[in-house]
Amino acid sequence: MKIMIAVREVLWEAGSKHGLSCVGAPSARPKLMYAHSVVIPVQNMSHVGFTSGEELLRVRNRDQTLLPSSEKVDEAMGSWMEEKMVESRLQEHRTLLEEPKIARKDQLPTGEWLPESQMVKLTRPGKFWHHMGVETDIGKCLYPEEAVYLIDTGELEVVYDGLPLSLQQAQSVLLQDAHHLDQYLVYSHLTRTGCKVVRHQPHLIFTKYEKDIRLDQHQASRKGTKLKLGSNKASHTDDSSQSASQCKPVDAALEELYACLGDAAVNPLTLEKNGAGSSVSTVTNSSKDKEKESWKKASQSSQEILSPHEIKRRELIEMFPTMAGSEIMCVDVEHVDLLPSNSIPSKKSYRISIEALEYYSVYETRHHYHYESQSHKNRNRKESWNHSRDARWDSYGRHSNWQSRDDSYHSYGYRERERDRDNRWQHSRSQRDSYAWREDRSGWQDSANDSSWRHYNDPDCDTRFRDRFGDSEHDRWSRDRMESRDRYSGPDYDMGFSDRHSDSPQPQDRDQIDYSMWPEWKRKRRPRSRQQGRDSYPSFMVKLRTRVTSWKEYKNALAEMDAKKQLARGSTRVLWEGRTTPLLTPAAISSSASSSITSLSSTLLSCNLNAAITDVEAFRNLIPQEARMKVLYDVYLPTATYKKSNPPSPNKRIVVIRDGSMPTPGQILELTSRFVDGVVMVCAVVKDGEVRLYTFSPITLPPPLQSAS
Amino acid sequence: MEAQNSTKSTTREEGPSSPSKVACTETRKVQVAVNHGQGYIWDVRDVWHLWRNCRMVGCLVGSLPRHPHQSCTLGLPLRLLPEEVTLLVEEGLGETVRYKEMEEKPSQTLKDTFSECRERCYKEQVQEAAIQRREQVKRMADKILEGKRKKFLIKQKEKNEEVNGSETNGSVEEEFTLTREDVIQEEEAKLQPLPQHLQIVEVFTRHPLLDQLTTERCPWPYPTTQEERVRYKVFCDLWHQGHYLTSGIKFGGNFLVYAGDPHLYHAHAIVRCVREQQLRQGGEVDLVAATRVAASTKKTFVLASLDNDGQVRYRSYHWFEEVEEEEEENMDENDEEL
Repeated sequence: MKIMIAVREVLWEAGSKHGLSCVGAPSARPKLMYAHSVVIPVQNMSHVGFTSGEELLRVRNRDQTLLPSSEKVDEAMGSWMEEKMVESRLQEHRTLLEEPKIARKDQLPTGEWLPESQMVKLTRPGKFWHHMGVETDIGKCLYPEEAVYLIDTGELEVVYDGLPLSLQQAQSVLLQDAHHLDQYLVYSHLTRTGCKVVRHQPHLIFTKYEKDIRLDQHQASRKGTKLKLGSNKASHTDDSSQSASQCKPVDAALEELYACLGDAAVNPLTLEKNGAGSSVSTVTNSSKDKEKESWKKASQSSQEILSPHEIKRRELIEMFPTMAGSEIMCVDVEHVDLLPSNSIPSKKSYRISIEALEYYSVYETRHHYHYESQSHKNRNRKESWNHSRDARWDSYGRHSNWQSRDDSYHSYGYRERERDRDNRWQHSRSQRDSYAWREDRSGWQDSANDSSWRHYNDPDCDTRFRDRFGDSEHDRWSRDRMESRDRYSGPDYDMGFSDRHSDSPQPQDRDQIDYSMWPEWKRKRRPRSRQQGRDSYPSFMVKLRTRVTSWKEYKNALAEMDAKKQLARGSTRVLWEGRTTPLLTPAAISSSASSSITSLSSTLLSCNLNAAITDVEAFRNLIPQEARMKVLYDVYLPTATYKKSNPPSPNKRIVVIRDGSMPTPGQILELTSRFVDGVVMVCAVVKDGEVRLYTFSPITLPPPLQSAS
Repeated sequence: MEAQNSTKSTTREEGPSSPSKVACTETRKVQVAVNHGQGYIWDVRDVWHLWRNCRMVGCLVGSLPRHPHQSCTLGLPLRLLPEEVTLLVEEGLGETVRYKEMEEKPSQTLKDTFSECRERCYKEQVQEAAIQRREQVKRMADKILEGKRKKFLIKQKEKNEEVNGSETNGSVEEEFTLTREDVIQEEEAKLQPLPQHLQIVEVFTRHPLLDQLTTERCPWPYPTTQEERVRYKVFCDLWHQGHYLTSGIKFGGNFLVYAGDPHLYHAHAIVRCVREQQLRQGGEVDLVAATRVAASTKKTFVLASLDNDGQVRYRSYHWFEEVEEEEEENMDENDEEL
């Protein structure tokens, strides 16, 4: 066993002393505490919760020193003196607790709670801005835990619909659930001790190699990118800047920002509370988020005033005026004779949902997203397909092509459109993770899992590590989706996971959706595996891409492949994992026949590159995405310098354990090897209001001492 | 107070027989506000009541107003252990509540009341500030007077020098006629009300208008699982014996047992609650580990489980360093051991 995961408790004692103005030896304090009497301030409360003005003014000049907590006694004797000591300590503590938190009005920063985006918008930022909050399209905003913490320390007043929030109310309004509360406790525990705690920044990964050549100090500036929080008006404000630079890096940066945004904005459980008045849509935030993304893309190409979703919605309401005010509508299919000649309804009734429309708008702007496996989930429809497979179908099938749908849009009767919508809705259900509206829930979950699994489990996956952090768009997309699933649909996951391998797409289902337009990731990878499946039979010989003429050549090629694999997946992989890699690829090193380079590869293999030595690739795919632990915070120690505009690599990364369930060894191994930069992973466990921190760090056991003989 | 004394002094001699006499002469119930499945105490009087009279300790999780950026001494709210909440409810000492309007948008009346209160607070501050200023002036009056006299003298001197070079000191002294009362009056005339932007604003910990909200009883299901039931039973039993209990996660147990108030005393036992089956299944490795931790922290490790009659049985283990094999000795199986 080469790796041992050592779990040890982190003590940041130095940090906990931070901020104490009076740090004296505890023993210096007189033991005869009981002698000094403590005056309890008289409570002249005009209103129960309000401290009177006199009191507040008096408090202004209060003594700010805090005596260090005094020593405790081992043995309880029950003597008179001890009683008095207890009494005085309790009194003392009570006085400390009773004090109100105060601030001068012109020095108190203020913010406003925005329930729809789950953020606190700052109307007057304070000193904390240099390490808290995030710049968004609607202004400077704070994450909920930051806002709650600042209320707790009396540095911020948050207004909710005109009423300043107390800490008590803020904890129930701003924090969503028990786990969020735990996260807050971890945040406040670390921040109190002087650490700077920020949301996890996935882009801040620098391999040792990159650090050695100081690439981390030259990262691209992210100043232009702002977090999108999603008010319609705001999404148009920076159109000009975006259309000017349509290059990919900006997009990638934005995607990363989305990832940073994490659960605050992509919180699928929180329904938009102020249901937009008379508007029909009550959407989840996550869908809103995706929608936003689509707007972003749409607005790049055309400066339209209405979002595609809005156009679709109006169209639909024009067709079905009765739908205004509701989300889903059921429409029964008329008698066959009344239908247009080329329409074959597959169901007796259809549901039209606004949510599907929304997906649809996303779909359109993203062009092609096919999830092949969801259609066969709909058993009703499958039956009807088998029945109605006749000559007429072919013509219809061509029409119902996804891509040509828009061309022939107006030639359709609206039943077809309706049918399309139903299809779309099916799509959206597999897409969306937040709501299971119908009873065949397990079905769509399978499909969602299925598609993403296949993507991740691609046998030819020689994509580099960085791919998983936002280089490819669809990758990020599905990952986000899985992450939010991970957080909010815990109990269902087992079922979905076990079914995964059993449901492979069946050929007859292919007919239902036209697959002439492959999604990009399928176009890239699918054909090859298919070809392998059909045209070739399994062979024990390793298939080579190059042409060989003799056994010797074949063996050489194999050796090269082995060397390449070893370079790319062994300890040397750290060299190629970052954004910047050596000029030579593993393949180049291993394939060149010259002896100098061969020795280079062996040298590389022999030197200690300070990485996990196990073959991480092997088990990376074994842990399903939703079972992986999610990194929540990046922590900078009080001594570290931190600049929000150009953050350095964090000192620690924090994972908060959910519901007291301990991580499995596999999860720990995955977590510790997920990042290649050697930043310490800290696991925070919250139990009974106490935060315990544990680090996961790989250690190598020292070799046993060689005896002198 | 009396009862508390007696419980404390009798703890060691007659632990089990001492009744759960809690000096709750007051009839008021402690309101445990439930938020996201956790019980919190937000009122400092309730905290006081729990500490003084109910032997409940809880865990402070907020910031101290005086010194928010440290974690040695913490402030409100007080987070209670789930066992403590259940016990409070069962003993009739408290009730779990939830406030209906807490998560909703505030109503207009609430907003009005709030701004009214804040306005009144401001007015009080204006008055108070004026009073404080007057007191300050009175205190400083003599100094001001002295200063003014000096200034006057210098001015006079200059004037005299300008007019005629001769010195007429005595007459100048007499010309200065200001008295202390004059100075105070003068300063009071200059007094201005406290400007709006300089008022002191309170950042509330507890909801300031809690009495305006609708209080609802909140169901408190704890304990639900078998383990939780054992834990609760043990907690109850020890509490009724007159001990103070806190969470034992610090030392790898379920509870820490204190003979007296944890503000003064160290804990003297680590309690771990197990089910009878788990006890029989062994777990020697865990036992040795736990005993060693207890020994190095000068505490007693206690295994608590329920016997067939549902009574709590305690087994305490000591780890002797003198003995070569790390052997646990079953010291005593009586409750009095504690």
